[in-house]
Amino acid sequence: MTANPAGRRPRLRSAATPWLFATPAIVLFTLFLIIPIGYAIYLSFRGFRIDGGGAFGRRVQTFVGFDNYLAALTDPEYVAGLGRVLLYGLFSIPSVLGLALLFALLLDTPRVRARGFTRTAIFLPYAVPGVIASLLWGFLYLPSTSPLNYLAKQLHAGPLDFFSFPTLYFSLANIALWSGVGFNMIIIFTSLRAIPTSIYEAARIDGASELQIAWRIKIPLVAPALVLTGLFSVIGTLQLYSEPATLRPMSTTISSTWVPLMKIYQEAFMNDNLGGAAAASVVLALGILVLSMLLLRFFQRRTFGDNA
Amino acid sequence: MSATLQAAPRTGDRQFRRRRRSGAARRPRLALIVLLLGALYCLAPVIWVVAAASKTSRELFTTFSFAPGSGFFDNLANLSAYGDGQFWQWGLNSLLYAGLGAVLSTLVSAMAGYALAKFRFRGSQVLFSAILAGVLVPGIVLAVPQYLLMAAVGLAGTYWSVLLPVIINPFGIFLCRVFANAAVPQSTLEAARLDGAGEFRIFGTIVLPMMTQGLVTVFLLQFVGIWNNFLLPFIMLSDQDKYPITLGLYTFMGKGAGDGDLYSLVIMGSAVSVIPLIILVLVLQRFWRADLLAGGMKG
Amino acid sequence: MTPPSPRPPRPGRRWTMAAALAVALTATVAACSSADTPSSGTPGTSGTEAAKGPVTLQVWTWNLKGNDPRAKAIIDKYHQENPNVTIKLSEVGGTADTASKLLAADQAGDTPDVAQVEYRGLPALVVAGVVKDITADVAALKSGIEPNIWALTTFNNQVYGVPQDIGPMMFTYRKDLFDKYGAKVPTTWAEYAKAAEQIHKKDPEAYIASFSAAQLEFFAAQAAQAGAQWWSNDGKAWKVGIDSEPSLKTADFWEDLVKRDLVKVEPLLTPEWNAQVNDGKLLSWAAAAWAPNVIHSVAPDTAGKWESAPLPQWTAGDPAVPFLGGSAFLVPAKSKHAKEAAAFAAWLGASDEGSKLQLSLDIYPGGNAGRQATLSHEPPKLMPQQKDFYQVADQVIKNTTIPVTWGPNVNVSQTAFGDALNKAALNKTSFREVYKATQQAVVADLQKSGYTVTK
Repeated sequence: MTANPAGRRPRLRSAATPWLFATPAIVLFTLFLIIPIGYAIYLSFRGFRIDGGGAFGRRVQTFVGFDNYLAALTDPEYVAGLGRVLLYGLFSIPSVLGLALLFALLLDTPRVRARGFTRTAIFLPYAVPGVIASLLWGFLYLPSTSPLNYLAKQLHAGPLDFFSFPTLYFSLANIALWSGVGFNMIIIFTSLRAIPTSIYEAARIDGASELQIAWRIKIPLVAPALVLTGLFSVIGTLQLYSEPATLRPMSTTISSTWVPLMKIYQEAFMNDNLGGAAAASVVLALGILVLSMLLLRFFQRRTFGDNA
Repeated sequence: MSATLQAAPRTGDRQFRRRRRSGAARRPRLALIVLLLGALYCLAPVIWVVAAASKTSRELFTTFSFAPGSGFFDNLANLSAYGDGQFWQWGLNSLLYAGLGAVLSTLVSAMAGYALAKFRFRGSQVLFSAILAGVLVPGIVLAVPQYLLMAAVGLAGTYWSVLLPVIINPFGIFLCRVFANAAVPQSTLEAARLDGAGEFRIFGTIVLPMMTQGLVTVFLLQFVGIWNNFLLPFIMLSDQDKYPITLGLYTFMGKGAGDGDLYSLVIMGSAVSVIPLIILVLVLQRFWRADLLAGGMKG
Repeated sequence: MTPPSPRPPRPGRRWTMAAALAVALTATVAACSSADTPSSGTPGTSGTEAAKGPVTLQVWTWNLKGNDPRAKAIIDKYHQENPNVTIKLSEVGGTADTASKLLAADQAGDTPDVAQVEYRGLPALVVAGVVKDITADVAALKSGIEPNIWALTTFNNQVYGVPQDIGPMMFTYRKDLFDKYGAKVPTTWAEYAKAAEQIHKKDPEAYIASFSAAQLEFFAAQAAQAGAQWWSNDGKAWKVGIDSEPSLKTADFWEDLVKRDLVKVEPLLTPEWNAQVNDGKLLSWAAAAWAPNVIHSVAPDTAGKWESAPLPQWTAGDPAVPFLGGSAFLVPAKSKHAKEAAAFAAWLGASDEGSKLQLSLDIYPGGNAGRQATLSHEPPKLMPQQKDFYQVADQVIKNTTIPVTWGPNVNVSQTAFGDALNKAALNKTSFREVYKATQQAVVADLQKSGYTVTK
């Protein structure tokens, strides 16, 4: 109690301290995210129009109101791209999360061998850049370089077409699965390890099978981790870009605006329509935001309902 | 939730007993087989890259995918010879961007995450939400505004133009906040403050060591992220000597009419560029604590 | 509270903040990055007057690759003759990449001094105000290039670039396999269809060629052969002819071949395409004189088995063709050394010395001296036995009398057209509809931008 004057100092300090710690992040965040986002929103209301007539009249940037938003929302290709991404997500997200959960549970099975090796092996693709992963699978899909096709040929079966309509979605989802399953597996596995074993010791003594323990005890307990990985998968899915973009030159079935981000890239970098790209991005970001909030709310009620 | 868990084994009592004999002995073997299949699935394409990197461009299209070729050293030599060893320059650049960028990013994230987790201050909630929202914005739209900004201050085309934007990593801040919450007890901080330690001393000597495991995770994620980044260096740089590997490999895929394609170089380059990442993953894996991610939902 | 700033006002507050940060940073940059090359000029100084001191020109090009010894020899030669000028080469990607980077660089005031662009991408850059009018700068070397080639970079009588390489249209084919299957080298497109039939009948796995919907320029050239102009203007208004009857007839031609499975629907230069070319399953490529070098790079083993002939025609005996591909060097409007840049571009493209040197890069020079030099040059590596390759090509250039005008929105049509044509080829639906839809999209886009479009 003698430290009354000294006690004031920490309080004074702590008012400014968090801001000092956060300053580098705030400055960089402002410079490289807030300002560019603000500028992008500004751009989304602007477009190029011709100044001074003639066939080679110069383009100048002017205010175009909601034209860009209207164009994005009424563009059938953009809307179709959103649809394709959702369809792709229906394949990819459950398969990535399902397999990640399966591997995590298997790794968590008592007495299983080669745990370290398999865990590392399954995680390894995470280190392979998305573009390289796509290029590599592209080679594995193309008829003349595909090992599956080589085998099919040996068996006198026809060439397999990995790029034809429904198969294409699986081919793309497979790349996501390959790259993403390890990362998600590690998250689920570590949260499995965080469960005190005492919780299912009792069940084991009662003679419960590992399958039963997994289904009834482990999965409910890792549900929060599943929701989190699911949420990031949804965000990642809606921002799908490098896989279809890398495979596009190899196939005739992937159009140049196959997913929303390809469309945005196209407008921004090929068609010199930054305004249109910005508007389409704002629409996409808002869509992701709304979807994430809805999912979070839905699952929060279900997984944490009892506690919250 | 705990109530339902305790109830669970009892309600299923009978089924548990029935399965007991068959289950316990056989399951791990099946588990092992499934895991090995998974490992095979994940390793096969990596093996393919190595096999393909050893092929001449002729063998690439004519021999079985996984069969090793005869051109490994030729390809490596070609890659090294390309533009007077420019490929290795790109590799060094990538190491610089990813290494320095990830270190700085981790530090900035740790400071911000610590501030958000361990201090109550006005505006902290707003700040945190704003940073989280940053995850939602696709980088493609930000590249051009970021470039214009860099050009406005005369930094476009320099190493800094690629380094600075990657230091801010909303996801990293989010992770650090979660981890600081979990790993740094408030009582330790109070004790240090009572001892009269300065806030930055506390952070440097007590907080950072406690957060090490989480920071390694953030570093690894950001390193891989920067290493794989393509668009930012593409828009920022025009001097080939400053390119990172991703951008360099992209120029290999000749686009102009009359340009040859360089698939065997691209594949060799890909194989080489993946190696540092794989080593990093193997080395840092023992620090790998992704449970901080899982804790995110509670925090 | 702070004393009034002596600095002049800045465009906006955020830039001031950014600048403050930058000042702090540059100090650090200077401290630890000595690897920075000296920049071509301080950002503040501008002006197109010829500089007194030494000048470094930043050149974005894919023809001259930074450390390719042949490219190095060329820029060293130039430096020797112009000791004041140093050339710094950079490859930033192909046409689309270069154009998009250039647009951003222009906005930022950070442009190179010379940039390479394919002819069809030039109008879009011109109307964006990115390209400098260099009519006066190149006047002295005007006679170094034929007018039909200058036409590729001249709009409304103003020159916006110096042609470098050109693409006289040629039909490159597997001589040995055409002979083996008894197919006649086509001189008309009708004969082409017959040869396609013959080849596919003899070997069901082989095709005369791939059908690549992304090759907008090829389809435009084919329509031009048939008398259609996809874009044209009278100096005031644009006219779009993608759905004109001659153009639609070319659509019918390809639709028929695709429907009868006589061409393989497959993009160009994919690993798959390369493998097929290696295997002798794709027997030809109707493109231009640059095609042999591309084929050689993916299928070096097949060298000696190919030959090139003039492109098939719609009307027998009519030799007229347009150019296909090729590229020019432009000078960005914001280049700080425009005079020197234009001089370099003109030297490489139009001077006797420069255009001859281009031949060493395996590209087809557009300059007269370079063209003249081709006549005594060895044929391309793909067909060492075809001694008259360059004679044939030169004759094609003389017959390249169809001018092709590219509109300011080629990119918009490129993707819309390619995507839709791919779909039509896969679903075996009407190609005419694709051409008509592209017409509508192109017209709508021009009108949206504010151009006048006439029927």
